[in-house]
Amino acid sequence: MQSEPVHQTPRLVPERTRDSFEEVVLPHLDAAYTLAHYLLRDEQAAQDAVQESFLRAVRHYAGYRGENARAWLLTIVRHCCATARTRRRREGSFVEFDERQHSEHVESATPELHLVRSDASDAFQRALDSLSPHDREVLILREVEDLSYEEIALAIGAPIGTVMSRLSRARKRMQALVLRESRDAS
Amino acid sequence: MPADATHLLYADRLSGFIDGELDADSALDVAAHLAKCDACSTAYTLLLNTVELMHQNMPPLRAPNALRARVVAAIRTPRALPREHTVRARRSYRTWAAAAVMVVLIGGAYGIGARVSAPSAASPADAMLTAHVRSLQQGHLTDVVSTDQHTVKPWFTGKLDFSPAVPRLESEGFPLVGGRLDYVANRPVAALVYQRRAHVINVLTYPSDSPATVAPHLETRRGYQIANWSAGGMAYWVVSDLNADELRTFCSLMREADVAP
Repeated sequence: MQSEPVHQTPRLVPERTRDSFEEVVLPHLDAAYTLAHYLLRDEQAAQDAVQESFLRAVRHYAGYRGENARAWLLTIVRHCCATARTRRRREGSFVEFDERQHSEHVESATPELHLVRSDASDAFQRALDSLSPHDREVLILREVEDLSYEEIALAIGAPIGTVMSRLSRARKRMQALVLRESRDAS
Repeated sequence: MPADATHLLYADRLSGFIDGELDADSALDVAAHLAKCDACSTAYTLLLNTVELMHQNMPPLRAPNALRARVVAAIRTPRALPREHTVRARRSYRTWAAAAVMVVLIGGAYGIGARVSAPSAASPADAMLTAHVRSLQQGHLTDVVSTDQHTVKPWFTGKLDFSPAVPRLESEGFPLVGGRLDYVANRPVAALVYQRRAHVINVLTYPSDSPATVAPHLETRRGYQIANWSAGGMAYWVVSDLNADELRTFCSLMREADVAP
C-alpha cells in the first residue's frame, strides 16, 4: 500500500467552504470505511461510524491545519469506532469480541472444533479477534491504513514508544496464533 | 551475554525495523546482527511473512455507494455546519463570522453548484442509465427490500435531507420491490425500485434545482427507456428496459400519485 506524502495538502484559508471539505476530506471515504470495517466488523455499525466521523470532521474542519488529511480523518474515525464499541458494550446490543472467550477458544481448541474450521482466513480472523482492542487497533492502523508510527501515536493519543511496543506485540501474537492454527490444521 | 538474551534484544526491534521506524544507529545495528545471526534472521523472515499475511487478509475496501450517498447528504445538510463552542470572545466572534460566511457560501453553493453540475448536457441521462445498469448487478438493486411503502419511505429518513414520495402501484401492475441510496451525478439520490413482470424500473429522485414543473420527457438510449420530469420541487428519472408505452403509463401513475396527498 502506498502511504501518502505528508503535507501534500496545502494550508487552507480559514473560511473553508463545503467544496473545499469535499475536495480535501471526502476522497478519503474509502480509507475511513476500511478502518471502521476492520475495527468494528459489523457492517451497519461501521457505516454509522463513518457517517458520524464525517459529520464531526466537517464541524471541526476549522481546526484542521492542512496536515495529512487522511491521517486527520482516520483519527476521527478511530475515535468514533471506540465510542461505538463502548456504547455497544454498555447496551449489550452486540457481542464484543471477548478476549477471554476467544483466547480460551484458541488455547483449548479441541479436534472437534477444528472440524468446523473452513479456511485459513477464518484462522486469521480468530487470531485477530484474540488481540486486545488496543493492540488490534494499532495493528490495523499500521497494516491496513499504512499510517506512520507518529500518525498512529497522534490518532490513539499515546507515545510513539507505546505504538512500537504494541505493534511488535500484536504482530508476534498474530504470528504465533496463525502458526499454531496452521500446525493444528495439518 | 547469553545468546537467548541477545536474540530477545533484537526481537523487540524487528517490527520497528520492518517499518523503517528505528533511528539510524539502531537500524544499522539490527541489520548487522541479522547478517550474522541465523536465528534472528529466521525470526525476521517469519515476521515479514506475518505482515504480508495481514496485508492479504485485510485488503483496502471501497465504501459502498449507499454509504457515499449518506455521507455526502450528511455533510451537505446545514446541521453539519461548524458549531461555535469557544469561550474566548475574540475567537468566538471569528467562529461566528466564519460560520456566517459558511452559511452564505454553502447556501449559495448548494444552489449554484447544483445548477452547474445538474442536468445540463447529455450527461445526466447517461449517469442515470449507468446507475440503472449498475443496480442490476448482483446485490446492488436494493438496500431495503420491501413491497410496503410504509417500510421503504421511513428507511430513507435520516439518510437523506429529503423524503421521497413512495407511491403504491401494485394494483396497477407495478409492485414496489424496495429502495436504495445511490450516488449519481455528484449527488445523493433516493432510488425506488418497481417491477413490471421481469422488468426492473428504477425511479431516481432528488430535490430539483428549480421549483419549476418540467413536463415528462421520454427518450431511448442503448435500448433503455429513460423518462425525466420535475414536479413539486423534486426531479425524477425513471429508467427501465420496459417498453415505452408501459413506461409512459408508469410515469403517469407516479406523477398522479405524487400530486395526490
